[in-house]
Amino acid sequence: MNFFRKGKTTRAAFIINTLGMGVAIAAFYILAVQVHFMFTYNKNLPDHENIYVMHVPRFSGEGRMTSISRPLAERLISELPEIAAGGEFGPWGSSWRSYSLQAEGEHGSAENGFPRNMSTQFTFVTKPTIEILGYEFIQGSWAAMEGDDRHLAISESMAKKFDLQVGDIIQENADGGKRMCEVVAIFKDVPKNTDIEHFDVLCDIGNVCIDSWGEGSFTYFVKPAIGLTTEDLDRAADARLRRAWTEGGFFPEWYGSVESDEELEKVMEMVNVKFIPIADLYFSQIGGNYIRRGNKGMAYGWVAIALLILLVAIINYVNMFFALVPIKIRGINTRKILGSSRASLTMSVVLEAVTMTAVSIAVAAALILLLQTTTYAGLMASSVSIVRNAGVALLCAVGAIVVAVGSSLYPALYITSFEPAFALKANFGASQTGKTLRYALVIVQFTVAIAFIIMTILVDIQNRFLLKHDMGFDRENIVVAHVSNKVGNETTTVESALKQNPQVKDVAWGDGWLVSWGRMSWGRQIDGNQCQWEVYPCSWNMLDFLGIEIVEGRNFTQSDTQTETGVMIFNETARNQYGFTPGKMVGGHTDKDAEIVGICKDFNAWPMSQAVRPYCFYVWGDQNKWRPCTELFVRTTASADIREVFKHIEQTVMGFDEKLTTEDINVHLFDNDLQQLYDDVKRFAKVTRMLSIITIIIALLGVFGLVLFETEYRRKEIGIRRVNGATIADVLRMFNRRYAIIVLACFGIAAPISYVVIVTYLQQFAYRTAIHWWVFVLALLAVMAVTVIIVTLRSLRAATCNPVESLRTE
Amino acid sequence: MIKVTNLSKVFRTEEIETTALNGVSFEIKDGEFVAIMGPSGCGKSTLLNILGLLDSPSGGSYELLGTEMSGMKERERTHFRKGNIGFVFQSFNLIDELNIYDNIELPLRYLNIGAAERRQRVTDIMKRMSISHRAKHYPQQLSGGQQQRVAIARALVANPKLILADEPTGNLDSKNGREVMTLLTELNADGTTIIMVTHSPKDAAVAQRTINLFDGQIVSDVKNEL
Repeated sequence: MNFFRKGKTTRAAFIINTLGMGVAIAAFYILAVQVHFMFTYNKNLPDHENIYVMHVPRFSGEGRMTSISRPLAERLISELPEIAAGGEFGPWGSSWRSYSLQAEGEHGSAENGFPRNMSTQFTFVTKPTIEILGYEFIQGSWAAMEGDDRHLAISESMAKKFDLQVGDIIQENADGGKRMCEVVAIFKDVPKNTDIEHFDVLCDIGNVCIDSWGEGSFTYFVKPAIGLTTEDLDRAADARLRRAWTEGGFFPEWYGSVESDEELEKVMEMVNVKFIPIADLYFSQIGGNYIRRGNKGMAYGWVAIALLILLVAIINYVNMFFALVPIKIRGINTRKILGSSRASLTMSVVLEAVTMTAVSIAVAAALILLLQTTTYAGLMASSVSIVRNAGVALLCAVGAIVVAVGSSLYPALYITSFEPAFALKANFGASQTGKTLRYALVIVQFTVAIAFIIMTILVDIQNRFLLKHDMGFDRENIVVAHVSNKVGNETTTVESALKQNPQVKDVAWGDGWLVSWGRMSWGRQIDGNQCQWEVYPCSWNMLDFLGIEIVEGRNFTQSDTQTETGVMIFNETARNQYGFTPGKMVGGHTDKDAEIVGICKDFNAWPMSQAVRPYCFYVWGDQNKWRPCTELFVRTTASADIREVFKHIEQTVMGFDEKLTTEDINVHLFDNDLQQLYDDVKRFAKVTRMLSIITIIIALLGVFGLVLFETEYRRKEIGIRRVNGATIADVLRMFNRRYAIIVLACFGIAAPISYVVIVTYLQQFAYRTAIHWWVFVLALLAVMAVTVIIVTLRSLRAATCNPVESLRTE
Repeated sequence: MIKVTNLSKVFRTEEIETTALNGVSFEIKDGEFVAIMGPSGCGKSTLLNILGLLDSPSGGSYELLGTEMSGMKERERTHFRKGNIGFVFQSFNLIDELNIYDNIELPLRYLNIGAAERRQRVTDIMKRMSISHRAKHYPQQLSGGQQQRVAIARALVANPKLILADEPTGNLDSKNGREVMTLLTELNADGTTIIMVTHSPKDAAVAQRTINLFDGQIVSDVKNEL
């Protein structure tokens, strides 16, 4: 390798650039994998172009979801000739179920290291779905599954892991209890990177909720008739539903009817059914039970970041090759004089770049392998394994080589373009054009680095803001557990048992997560207005437990649990939006209206990216209780021994239902639930932080390389200045002043760019941190400090060198 | 002005030790023009560097303007050099990035002289050297003779008491060489002390005195007949 024969400076430049490019290729690959994952999501399914998903408006009126009622979906599928086939795919209730081996037999044994238990995802399906989604059975068939929910089809990988075959019996543990099931079919693993890839267990849904118009919890996949598009399907469904409202005979009678065109438009806004190709679902923002959503803006953001990182590394390359011109030019032109052709000389320079890039690719591969062993790998939406992403890896490697050839070709042509006699005499180190180009490129690097620092800090501040912001209720020292229906039916006794531990201050019960992206929503026609609100069934002491203030009316009392229809407390937003006041009767969960007894202060029952919506705490009455509250909330004393409290809760709850395991109860801190809601935001913040650090390092490596060459080329100048009276401090000041001006100029460009980007980023949050001015100053000072350190350390050697030596080298 | 006693300089590397100067002693009075001659490698430039405070001796004594220089720290040498010594090199040693005006102004900047006075002094010296019309040009745009004029102007602009010239005509043709030597003679006539290293007996003949070095030792120190 020529670089190692050309002295320390060239060697250092080679190492710096190779490392920088290696880091850049690794970062680019990781981002490319993520972006590839996002843009190819669901596209691995066979015939994905002809798979559509039904979607309807959310109950809250904001956005759409794939959850639809079975009778509505089934009737449209059977009545619309535009739909060739359609079927349900999705769990009813919890999708996570655990399976364990019960009998030791020829198969399904725990021998030879096979596990006894596994937790995996379960889903109901219908026969058409099996065909639409392209399931292939290796053993057994749909016929064996049909009509019996204890007959399961399992994935090939689950069968291998468990050593199972058709005919084996396994025990399923779900919310509803334990039951024995038979494996009747084994299907080929479905393609990765799809919404259905994680479901290892399939079961015929049969007639579950087949007539429940009010139970909109099912996901339907359809295949259109040949040649039809999304618009055709949407139009057909729209026409059928309009007819359904005006002609009757479609919806159940209790849906009511429409009397005018205006009313028709209103109901159509609420129940219109549309279709979306499965390949477009990921970026569509349509929510669903297990539907994974991606943010296209984030994907493009990552593409931009990846390109910027690569740009910064390429700049280092171009800078290095131009910086090497004065070193190489004499040798190259001597060869020219001795008879070498320009083409072969150009090729030799390009080959050097390709060799360097090959080393960089090896560095990148090592970094990726290293990353896979760290927790950072978990931040990515998909695996970064090179084996799993061989195509992307190959593309990145080829791309890197092409970039290397591209970035070295111009300097190669430039360096070989001179008349040999001129080239042997000229001083290219001082070439104004070369210097201007190098500085211009460094300006780009600095600008990117400063902008990244500003954005990273502000994204981080926003992240912390979301986690620490006052949500309007007391969330300190809360422990949460999940219990069975059996335990949920004995709340008073369980509460007394729990409170025997002095570390337990209070206990409350709710139905599901208190803070979540969405929950049960009810829509009611009240005083001629269509009203929508989210409902949280809870114990009568919940508001006291959470410290939420009643602003009008009264709080719940214990006697409310004995009322016929139950009572409600709405938040201020519901009052302001719909005019709800204490004493008003609105539709509850029974046929009869329930009383609003109070209005509570607004609080955040949603992640802080969302604004407060109409919300209702509901204490069930003593009749027609759907289900008990199974989410247990325990407030501990501030000094409580949390481990001991966790144990106490587990033991107490298991004392009431011996079938429950600690995994079922899943005692955890309430704060953990909150943290999970911000997983995406946190991941983005962490990835941004990681990428910023990479970019900054590469950019600073570039600056380091530039200073390295500059001090080398300016040794004579330093010598002359020293001879003419310059002190070491004068020389250091001279170098630093130049870079300080560059940093300031770059800050002038980076600050407004990052301001605009961060304002756009923050717009997705209902609650935003202020864009603090000190973040900008901090970024400037940080880059300035690092630059000054690098420049000073590098220039110090040149400045302290005996000027006689510097002048002698010339 | 200069008193050198038993001066020596030894260069050491891991493998080899080279004695560049060995017990050199001489005195130079104010206003003298001294030429130093000798074959390549005899220690001429080393001696000039030590006299110009660009290097320190390994042994012996060097007094400049009544102050002992040997043993001085680098910072002190820099401080003493400023304004007292001007340098003229064979390869001119102009800064390519700076124009002629800025090159000449350089020593004044390091002396912290005010902008108005700097402007005045640079303008005066450029006029004296007949290079005023070249103020905005860059070194690469000038001929060798003109570049050496700029180098001399830069050496003189701070009104130093001593000018050290290291083969000032070595890179010039005979016409330009003659002009430079005329300039140095005029400067000396105005009272500036000049020490010049040269290979050219013709140039050395312009000086009042010639010191001949061989293998780091003075072999002759003679007054020239002018």
